[in-house]
Amino acid sequence: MDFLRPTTLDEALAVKAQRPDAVPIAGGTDVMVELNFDHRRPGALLDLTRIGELAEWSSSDGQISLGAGVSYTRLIGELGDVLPGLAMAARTVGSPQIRNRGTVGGNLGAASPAGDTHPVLLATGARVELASVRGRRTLAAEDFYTGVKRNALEPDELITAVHLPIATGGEQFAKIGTRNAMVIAVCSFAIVLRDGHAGAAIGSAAPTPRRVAEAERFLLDELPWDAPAPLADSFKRRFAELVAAAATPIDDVRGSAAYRTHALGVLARRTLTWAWDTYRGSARACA
Amino acid sequence: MSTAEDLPVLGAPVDRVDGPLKVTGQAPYPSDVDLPGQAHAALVQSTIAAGRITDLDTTEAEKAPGVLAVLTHHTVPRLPRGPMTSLGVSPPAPLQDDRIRHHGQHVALVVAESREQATAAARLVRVEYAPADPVLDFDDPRAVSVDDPWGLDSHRGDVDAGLASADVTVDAVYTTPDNTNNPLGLFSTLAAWEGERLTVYDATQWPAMVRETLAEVFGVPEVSVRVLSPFLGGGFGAGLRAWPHVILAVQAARDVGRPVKLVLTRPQMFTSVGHRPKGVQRVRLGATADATLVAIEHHSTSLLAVEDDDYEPFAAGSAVAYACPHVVTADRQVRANVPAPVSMRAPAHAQGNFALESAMDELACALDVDPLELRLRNHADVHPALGLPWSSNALRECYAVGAERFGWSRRPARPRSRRDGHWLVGQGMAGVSYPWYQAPSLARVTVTADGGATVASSGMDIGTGTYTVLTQLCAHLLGLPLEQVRSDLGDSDLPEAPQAGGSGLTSALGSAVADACERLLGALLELVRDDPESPLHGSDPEDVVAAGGGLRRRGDPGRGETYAAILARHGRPQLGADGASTPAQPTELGMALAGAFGAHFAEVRVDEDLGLVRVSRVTTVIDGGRILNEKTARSQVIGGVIGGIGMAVFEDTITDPTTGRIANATFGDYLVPVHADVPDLDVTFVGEPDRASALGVKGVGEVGLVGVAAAIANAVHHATGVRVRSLPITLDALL
Ligand SMILES: Cc1cc2nc3c(=O)[nH]c(=O)nc-3n(C[C@H](O)[C@H](O)[C@H](O)COP(=O)(O)OP(=O)(O)OC[C@H]3O[C@@H](n4cnc5c(N)ncnc54)[C@H](O)[C@@H]3O)c2cc1C
Repeated sequence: MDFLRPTTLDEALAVKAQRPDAVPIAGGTDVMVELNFDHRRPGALLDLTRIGELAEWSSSDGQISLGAGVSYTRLIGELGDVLPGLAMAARTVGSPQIRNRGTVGGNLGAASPAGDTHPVLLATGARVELASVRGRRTLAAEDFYTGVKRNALEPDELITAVHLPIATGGEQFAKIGTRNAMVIAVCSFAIVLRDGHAGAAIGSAAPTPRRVAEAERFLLDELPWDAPAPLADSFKRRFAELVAAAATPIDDVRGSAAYRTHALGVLARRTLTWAWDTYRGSARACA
Repeated sequence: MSTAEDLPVLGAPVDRVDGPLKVTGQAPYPSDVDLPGQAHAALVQSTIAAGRITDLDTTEAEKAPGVLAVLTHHTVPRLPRGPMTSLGVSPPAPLQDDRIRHHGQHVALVVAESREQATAAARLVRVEYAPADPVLDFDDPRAVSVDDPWGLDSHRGDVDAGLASADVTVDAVYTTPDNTNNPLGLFSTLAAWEGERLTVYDATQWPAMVRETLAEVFGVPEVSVRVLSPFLGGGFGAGLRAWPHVILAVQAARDVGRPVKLVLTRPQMFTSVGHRPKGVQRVRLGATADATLVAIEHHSTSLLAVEDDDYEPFAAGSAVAYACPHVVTADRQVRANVPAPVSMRAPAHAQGNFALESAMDELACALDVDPLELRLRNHADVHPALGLPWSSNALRECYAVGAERFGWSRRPARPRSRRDGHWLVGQGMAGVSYPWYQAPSLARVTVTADGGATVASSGMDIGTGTYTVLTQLCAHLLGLPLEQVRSDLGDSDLPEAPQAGGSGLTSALGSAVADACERLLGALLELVRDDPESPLHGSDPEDVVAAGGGLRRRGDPGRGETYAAILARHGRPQLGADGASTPAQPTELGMALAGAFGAHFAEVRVDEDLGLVRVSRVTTVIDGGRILNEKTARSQVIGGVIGGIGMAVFEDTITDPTTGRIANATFGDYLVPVHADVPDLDVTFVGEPDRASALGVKGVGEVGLVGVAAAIANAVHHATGVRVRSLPITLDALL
């Protein structure tokens, strides 16, 4: 197995074009597990940790461009106030050691239906930036996840960054785990409310992380945006029903399908309340 | 002659003497040891649970890089099964025939130059099977069952009459799943033959037993076998047997004529070194309206391997837990195509107590009395079966102190009385009577020319603090500072001690060390008494104490001399003495031998909508007799409580019901508590030195785990009104 260590993105893209079998490795918290279990024996590993550009973030025009190689620990520490939803998800990932190594780029690369950042990326309308020697393109997050642990990356492409809007309203992420840390989501949910946008997405409850379009439409159409008042229970219940209806979960050792569907409804109700409260607070602050 | 009066060193919360070695990576754990020229082995395990191997093709594996040998049932000679030990039979010898008895059974061992080569080549071994339909659960009509496997079933009074006379009865079935011991340290064996001499570094809790087993299996004298286990990355019972992989590593070393090292993988740890077997228990209790127990009936069925045994009397403890005139306890085991179970921290009692103490809570609810009051009213003032007074018993104090510290009196009687947002808050408790256990032990204590002393024993420190307490004990008895005492443990060449298990080692080995110290002091005294040059010449033994690093006149510490001086003058590099301890006999003493007692008080928070259970507080009070080291003893109890939290809400080894494959054999999928799951644990010790133990000690290695699951389940009931009779208490259970 070759261990390839490019120091610039251009070099990395050239290598990837030549060796499409090379498996990119960022934090390695997914890749190394697969290698240890011999689930995968690639001809080459493409180490991305020396590429400075991937480990940077920048901000312009109300957007954050988050390098694919920024660790969760840095994301939480440096961007927690501007990307609160993503930081909430990041805080629930693994343990301090995993958060020191693991990256959003790696979460996207692995594309596990249970990956914690996905619902937030979907709900906030993030765009994933991909690059190859052929050029760069960006994809809406919902177009990135194509199947169970499958994504839209071409064999010669790398994920370079994720572009997300700076939070201006309410953002929430909630995850159910069978214990308090170091746990794969039984199910997860994210909601983002800002002027003109209502995003909601589920994790670990379908073959891919997915947006819950009907529930989003319901929020956009029915939330009292202009006169933000507390929401009636019946409103939250309706939202919860729409979210639960969009789930197609399975039974596994972590939880039954029925539990997941039920729990998503509960998470939807609770996070809507919290996100709406934040939105109302920010709306008042602006007025 | 006596030793120094209670120096602060005994009982003091001394830091682990082996702590610096461990945290600096210098403690040689079994998998850390390497020998020149060693080869590495990797196991091939069966992928069916029952049937036969029809073809086993090792050609590809043998051709793989670095491969030295592939052991299969075609190559391994017929080996006898290991001996009967004081804990039961040895596991069957490995690779003796083509039969498969459980999923994950070893079917081959590949030996290669490196671990990676062995692992890679192991995947090239082709095994064809003729699978049979495995027996995997209790209800399979083909399953063979064993009634009263240990002759421990008990009958007292007339339980049917007792139940008939009761005003209130409880009749409930409780189930507990397979749990896996899962010590953090992967078990490993490094075996090296030099002619007929065999040295083995093994992850064992019992070096003397492994030596005896290997000698018998490989037909060599015991004296030519040396087994070392000076440090262990935890065991929880998994190290109480000489498992098939140990035999295979030794056989492989013989075959290739080089040292062979075998380190199990985490998934292999689930099938190779035992587990706590699952069980179904039915408990019937009867009480009169004034909350007096009149009947206890406890039946258990647990799962067992097809050709192996395991000591797991779930129900037996219920016969002696409470004062009650009419009692039946009965245990049954059912054989299935599962990996062999083994004792796992508090074997049988962890499970049996869950059933009994849950049923007691149900009875308290039915009677409308406080659960604590019910236990106090039925407290076993004397041993319920023998009618003898206990050698020590501070269970009432455990209850009183625990209730006080926890604030039990403020607990509302009704379930679902307290809420904090969407969390329902509940409190529950459980009592514990842990059985007494002790085995004979030897030890040697030696004073050396530098004036210090060494304790030597084959007994080992599983991580509990044995090094530390023996060092403290010896320092105390010889009047030496701690730094001048060293303990050498975990080497089968040293005087034989029993297993680190059954919460019995400290008492057994500690008593042997005390005996050795006494004999050693006697020998030293003899030297000085007849020595005109000694300041203690002609002293009456009663007037001499061990203090200040030597022997001193009582009341006149200036008159005396150090051990170094005594040895030097007599031209001796060292002077040692052997000590022994034998377990007490209840009939001779006129007392019932008491194990530890305890009480747990737990608070849980249950998310009403999501069914999440979070343990928010546990108060534990333990009567462990005399505590030799507050700190290591507390750590034992804390670890036990955490194990109990795991048992209550997380741990579940899931076996696929059709294939018999364990579906969650990794630490990612088999959940144990992490820091964020463990609240502050309040641990207190009460009680007096036990009268039946020379040291007054009762073991505390297991008692902390027992009762936690029941206290938590009872708290969950108090929080939610839902009675969960099946562990672990998962999310789905509470919706
Ligand atoms: C103990 C443990 C606990 C965990 N807990 C969680 C958890 O709670 N929640 C959660 O979501 N995940 C969890 N994970 C999984 C993992 O940590 C995350 O998915 C993490 O985000 C992966 O990031 P990484 O940088 O380590 O990825 P890597 O392992 O380096 O890579 C993961 C995948 O992405 C690809 N990849 C990485 N970077 C790029 C790139 N720039 N371009 C193209 N492909 C790329 C790799 O080839 C690989 O396929 C856990 C893992 C472990 C070992």
